[in-house]
Amino acid sequence: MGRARTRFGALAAATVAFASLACVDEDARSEEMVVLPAGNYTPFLRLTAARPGAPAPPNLVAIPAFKLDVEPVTNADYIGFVRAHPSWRRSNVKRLFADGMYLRNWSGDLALADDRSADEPVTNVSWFAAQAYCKARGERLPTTEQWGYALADNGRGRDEVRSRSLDWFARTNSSRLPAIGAGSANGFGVRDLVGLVWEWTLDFNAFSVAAESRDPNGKDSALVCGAATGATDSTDYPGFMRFSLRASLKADYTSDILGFRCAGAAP
Amino acid sequence: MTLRMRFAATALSLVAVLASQARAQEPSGARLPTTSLYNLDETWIRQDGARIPLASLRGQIVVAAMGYTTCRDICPAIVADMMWIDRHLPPESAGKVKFAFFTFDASADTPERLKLYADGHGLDLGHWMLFDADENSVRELAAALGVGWRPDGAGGFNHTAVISLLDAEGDIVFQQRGAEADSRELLEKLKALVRGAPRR
Repeated sequence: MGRARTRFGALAAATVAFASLACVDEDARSEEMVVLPAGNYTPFLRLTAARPGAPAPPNLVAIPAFKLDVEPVTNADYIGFVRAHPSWRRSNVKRLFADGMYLRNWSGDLALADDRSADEPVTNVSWFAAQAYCKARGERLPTTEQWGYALADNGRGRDEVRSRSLDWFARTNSSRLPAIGAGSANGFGVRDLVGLVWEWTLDFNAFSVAAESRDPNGKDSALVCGAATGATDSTDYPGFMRFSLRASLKADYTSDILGFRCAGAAP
Repeated sequence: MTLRMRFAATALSLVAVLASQARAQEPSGARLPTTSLYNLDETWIRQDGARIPLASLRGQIVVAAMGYTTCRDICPAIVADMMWIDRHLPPESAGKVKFAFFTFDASADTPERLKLYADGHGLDLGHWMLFDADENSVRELAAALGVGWRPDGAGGFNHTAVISLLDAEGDIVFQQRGAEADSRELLEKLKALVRGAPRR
């Protein structure tokens, strides 16, 4: 009698586990967005004059109000997207748009590695893929300035954010990413800008301009139209890290620590 | 005509229509490589106002670059390099090679302005094309070509100097980077394409 009940319990548990594996709850998506108010922002990169003798652009940038995902896009979110858009499935994606590691952590075109990964940020997605996802929602990737503005949080907790960033860089890669939502939201209501994944931005390739100007022959201006470079805050080590990462990215590149979130116009 | 014959005729014509549609999507008869730039579904406006899908460049060898007409620093060098390559094309490349210039400046570089720019440089519009498109197309093309760019805050753009050599299927076979770079290597690779050397 007891053995039958145990067997039944095990069978029931296995059924539930299998069902939750097979049926990702697409209504539990993390597509909540928050409106960030207009404000001023000092970008990490200091702009210099476009031509000798021209005035230097101001280092304070006015950011209009915009919407931003509270969390990075999750695997559950992304599987809904590729269900609706077969050309973005792993076995269909064009090599121009994503490299050979695209969605490599998934078990198949429409199968996550396990049910736990549903709430983890989607990774191994290229810039083209991230943009396609956001566009399908009528949005797009945030600009680097928008992303940085969200992180800067009007100066609230700046040192704490910086030290969390440094801790995150120092951590050895664990085998799994954390699920979204574990951290608290910042003053703007945005979560997990630090500690989960690096994130694609709309204009990531704005930063390869300055990077390629590190010409060993010293002819810095030969590679770029106009000049740029210099950090506005040379103590901002995480800022250097993010800048270096972006400068190294190509649009088809995927990485298991690189994800994204979407941005849109303020209502 | 019997009912059976009519049915057979309809079926045959349906098959013919479907087959011709399939052929229309793959003009060269072979599938586009998944690496090809022509997987970008973009339409650009040429200097004469014609709307040109990017994929219609397929079949030609293309020397492509991005810039903008009011650029005073490296864009003149980029165009000068392209003109140098043009002058050194072997005779057998006639009709097989196109030079394509894509502007970053969606608003200021209208077709009229692009035409003036072409005329000012003495470019033969039989095999040179200058294009503009919306910002989204600019962004995606620059991403696919690996060109870094950003507005410079003064109405222009900071960008990297990149000249790309595309084969007839739209694969990037070579890129020349930097305004100080030498165009001889690109020219040699272009000549190899013209001669019909096997693709990498």
